[in-house]
Amino acid sequence: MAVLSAKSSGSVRAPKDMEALWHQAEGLVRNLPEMRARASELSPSSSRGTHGRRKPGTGDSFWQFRPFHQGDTVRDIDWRRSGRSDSLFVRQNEWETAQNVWLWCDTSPSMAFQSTLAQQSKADRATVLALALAMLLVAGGERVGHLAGQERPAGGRFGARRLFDSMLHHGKPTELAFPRYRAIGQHAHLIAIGDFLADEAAIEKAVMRYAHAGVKGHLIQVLDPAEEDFPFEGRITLHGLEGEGDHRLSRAEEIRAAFEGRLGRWREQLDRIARGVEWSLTVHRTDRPAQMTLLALAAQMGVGL
Amino acid sequence: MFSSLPLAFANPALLTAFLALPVLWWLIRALPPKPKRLAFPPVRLLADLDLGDPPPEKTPLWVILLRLLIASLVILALAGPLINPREEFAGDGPVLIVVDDGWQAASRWADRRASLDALLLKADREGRPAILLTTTPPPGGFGEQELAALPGAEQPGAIRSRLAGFVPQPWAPDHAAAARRLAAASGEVPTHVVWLSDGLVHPGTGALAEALSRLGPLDIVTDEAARGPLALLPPDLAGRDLTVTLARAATPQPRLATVEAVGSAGRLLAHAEAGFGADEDWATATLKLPANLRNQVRRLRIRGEASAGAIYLLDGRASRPSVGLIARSGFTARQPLQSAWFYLKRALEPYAQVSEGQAIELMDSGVSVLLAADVGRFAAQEAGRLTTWLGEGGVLIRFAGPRMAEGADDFVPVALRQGGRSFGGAMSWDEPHQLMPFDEVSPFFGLEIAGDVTVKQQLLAAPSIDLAEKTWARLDDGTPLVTAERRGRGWVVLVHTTADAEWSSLALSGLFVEMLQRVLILASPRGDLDALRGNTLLRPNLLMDGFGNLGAPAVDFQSIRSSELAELAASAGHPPGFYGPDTGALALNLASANGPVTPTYRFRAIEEAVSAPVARGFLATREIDLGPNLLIAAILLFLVDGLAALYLRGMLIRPHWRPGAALVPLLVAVAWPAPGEAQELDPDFVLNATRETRIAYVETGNARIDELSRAGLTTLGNVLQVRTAVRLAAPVAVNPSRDPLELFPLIYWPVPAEAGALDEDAVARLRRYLRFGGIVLFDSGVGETATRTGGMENPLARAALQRLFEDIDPPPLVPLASGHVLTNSFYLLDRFPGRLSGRPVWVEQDTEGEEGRVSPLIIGSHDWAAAWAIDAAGQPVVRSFAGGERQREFAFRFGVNLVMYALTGTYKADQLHVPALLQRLGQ
Repeated sequence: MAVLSAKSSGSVRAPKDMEALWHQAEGLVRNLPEMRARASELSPSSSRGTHGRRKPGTGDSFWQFRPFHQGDTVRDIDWRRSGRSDSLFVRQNEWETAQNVWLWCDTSPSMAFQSTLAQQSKADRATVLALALAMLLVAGGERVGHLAGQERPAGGRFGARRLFDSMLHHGKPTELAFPRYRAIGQHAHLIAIGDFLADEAAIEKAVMRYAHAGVKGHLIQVLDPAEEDFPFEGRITLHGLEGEGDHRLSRAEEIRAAFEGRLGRWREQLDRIARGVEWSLTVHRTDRPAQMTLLALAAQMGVGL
Repeated sequence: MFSSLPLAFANPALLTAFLALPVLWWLIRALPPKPKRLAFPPVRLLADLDLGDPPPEKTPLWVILLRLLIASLVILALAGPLINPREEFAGDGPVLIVVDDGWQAASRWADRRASLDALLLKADREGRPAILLTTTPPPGGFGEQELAALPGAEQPGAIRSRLAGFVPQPWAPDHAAAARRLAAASGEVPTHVVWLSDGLVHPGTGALAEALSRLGPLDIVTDEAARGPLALLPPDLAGRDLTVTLARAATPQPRLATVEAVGSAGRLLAHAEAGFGADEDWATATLKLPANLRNQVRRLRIRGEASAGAIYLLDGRASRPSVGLIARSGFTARQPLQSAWFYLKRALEPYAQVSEGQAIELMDSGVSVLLAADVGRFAAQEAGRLTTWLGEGGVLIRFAGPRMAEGADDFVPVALRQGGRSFGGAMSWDEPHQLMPFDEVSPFFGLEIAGDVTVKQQLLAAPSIDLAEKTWARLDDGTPLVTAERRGRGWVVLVHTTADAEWSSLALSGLFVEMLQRVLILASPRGDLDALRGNTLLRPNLLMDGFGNLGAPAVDFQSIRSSELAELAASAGHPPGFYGPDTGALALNLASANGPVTPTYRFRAIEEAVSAPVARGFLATREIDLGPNLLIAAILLFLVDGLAALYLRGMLIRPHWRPGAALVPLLVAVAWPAPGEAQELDPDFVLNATRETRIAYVETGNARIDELSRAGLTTLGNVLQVRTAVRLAAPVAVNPSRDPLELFPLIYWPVPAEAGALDEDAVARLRRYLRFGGIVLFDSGVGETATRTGGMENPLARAALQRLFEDIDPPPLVPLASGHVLTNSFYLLDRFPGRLSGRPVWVEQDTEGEEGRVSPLIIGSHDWAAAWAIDAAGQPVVRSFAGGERQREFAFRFGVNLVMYALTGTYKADQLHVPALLQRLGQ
């Protein structure tokens, strides 16, 4: 018998717990290659690595040979090419830039919810998803930054770890259901992970603000199975985690259908908001494995795996 | 008190607690159980939903009533309600309780104990001392002191504490003695008497009743007339069938009783019914037993009647030894009705199982007594066998005669003089001789010698030192008539005259029968001469208690002289049971010719001797304390209340979220012992499926995939027809949750990525199909858009397969590789492509040790049907794919192999052994 109970651990996690989440994310990413085939089928156009700018610049892939000009350093001369003709040639690589991806995790009290139907609280699962995404993105050559933190996006070997540190230090609980606006520049990506249990109007306003600034966003809604299935029966009192007050029910099972309808409409609203600005909305349940959500998002972002 | 009501209270004062109930009402009402409080983040979504009536602030009425009911029950229980309350005991002296505790009361002892208990409780409640007078003598009989007084008055509690060991005695009550004790009583005079009678008249019953009624009010309580005791009268053990007579006190109701014959270790050998008619007090039953079982009967008893009087113990004297008559010329005399054979047979038949034949045959068949009439000498081989047989305990009884007079062999107890001795004949002065009374050491001791038994001729024993010792019977001139000698564990007995009427009239007398009977005991398993010798003391071995259970004697009873046993009646001094050594114990029964239960015994109802009214039936007069029952009811209701409280607090959540869903499988399991088998088959479908060999495919609901499956299997059938001897009719579409799968040798089961889990019915059918030898090809490549796989499997398809297999519990699988029968059942294949190729195909290992085994599961994702499918116009449905036409050919070859595999099993596995066989032949 699943007597439902909600654990509400403090939102600021002990570093040790965070370390466990890091390892979980690492495990997730390690197991992903098995699914590469599927990902490539889902998004055959997704290109690997960094984003070429179709002009010469700093980068690793060959772009063109051009004649040696005054001012070029001798080091740039491609001697093999030059040996085939009389003139000197300089090897130019394509100018490649990395994308800035900002990650944001909901730290409101409602995220601490975990029913007995789930293995993990919503906040933990959101953190794991964020860390795993960060690892994938960094491996794909992007830079990741923590929206609630203060550091600039970073890539490379320590990009994900820096995000982790930032989440550790700036993961204080807030009341925010959606990140406050912060100028993160055009062409940046924003991945917001949370339950988005807030007023639609407020969320829409915040999303529009980012969208107008040219940010491409991805919303991941993390829900507990109990929040979706409403598995209650009999006489219960339900109370929110953010001071919403009590709801007393004589026969909880009778309002299940009404609740599910309400949840569906609310999700349609979110979907409409996201689609209106060409953002994506992914729903994740904490009783389902994280891989699928990860893959789906990676495919949408065109992140090479 | 409330004497006119059938209900009264032991502690009526406690009923005032009911006044407190209104306070309890108010308390319970004011404190409702709190519903469970749960966190639920999306409560915002519930904000303006119609939530129904909120749970009431006050406790629901039914809970209040339930709890008040519990409280009332507890109060009532503590107040001690009594049904059938007895009136208070009269007077203020002690209460005298008289209990008949003889064997007649044993079968209904529990009633008496309960009644006695209730009486003592009541006396305790009323603060009256009690006197318990048992009418049956203690073991050994009443002593002088006991007879001179009544037991002293005691606190009822003290008596109750002693009652645990209070059991009936295996002898009868002595009412005369009880009356004497009453008369002799001094000290406190009882003022109220209750007599728990066994309902029968015993010697002195009238006097006892009179003496009791003089003391004060007398209540005589006994069983309902129809439940009176039964007794087993001395059975007639002569003859093969056992005739048993049962006695009861006559009542108008007929009654049926069953008599059982029980062997050793409690084995039931036979039973027979005895029916008492209305007003009849005797009934007889005849137990028919085969001869070999007849001797194994150890006791007779009345079924369901636990009393010493309903059991009759049988000892060695009662068993029928198997006796062999040696057929010699002596038996085949001119006049059969005058021959020794006839006399012996008639004398033995009632007591023994008699067979005839040659000595060796008889010994081989296991007789314990051999009778030889006028056999002079045993042949040499007979003699050898006879010696062993005697050593093992056989008894040889020989009769003299003309032949023996010529000369005897060793098998005689005493040396014989040659030639017979005759007297009283024409050539003699002597009168025929009579028998001398048997002396004490003789087993015949106690038999009465009829005056008309005369002996005209006998064989004389040669004088020897031990002749007197060996002599069991003499003629009146002192010459031995019967001599006996121990040989090993057996006996040789010689009667010095003939078994017919030639030499003496012994064979014509009753004495002859009685003497033979005494000798036969020697041969019975328990038989031992010592047990019958005159002055042997038989100590109590196993004695009965009042219920008829045998046990080691708890009290030192006196031993019995064996010579007295025959005249002894079981009594307080000598309870019924077995007496004597373990090997030859003799039984003393209540039912015996000497009494107390003689063959003419009759029960008389107590009303015949007592003028006071007798209450029949213990139950009707018993007080019943309802307190404990009410308390139990209160506790049960308290548990119900606990559950109700849990429910009200929302703590009772069923394991499955759909209401009632948990109950449905339970109900189904109860109502349908074998779901899935009880369903009807559509006869058309079955006929169609089985008239010709068909393979089936599972419908996915996706029209394109289903059409490909159908077309693919049809084409495969055509290919098989062209290339092999297999003729397949058109494929059949099946729905695993509806159709019988077991009609098909092979099922093609496409699993598109969107396929969901199977329902329970389908799981059950699929499991059964696989277990009973079906083969399923699961193809998870259908509907896949990819054209090249690179050897990778599609994770979505794999997830679909996982959903499908969740409840199937598949066996361990291995990738299909060369060596598996599927790779060589028709074509030799090393790959198994369909539209796709390069992915592994999974099968169950086809060998387990030496045993070939067909893999019930073949799982792959090559989208075979798409490769096979060719439409009516002869055009491939899927025009082109990576491997081209060559790959299509290989797909067909795989299909051919697959069907061959499904139809022939591991037949081709033998080929694998061919190299080994050839190699062996070469050597």
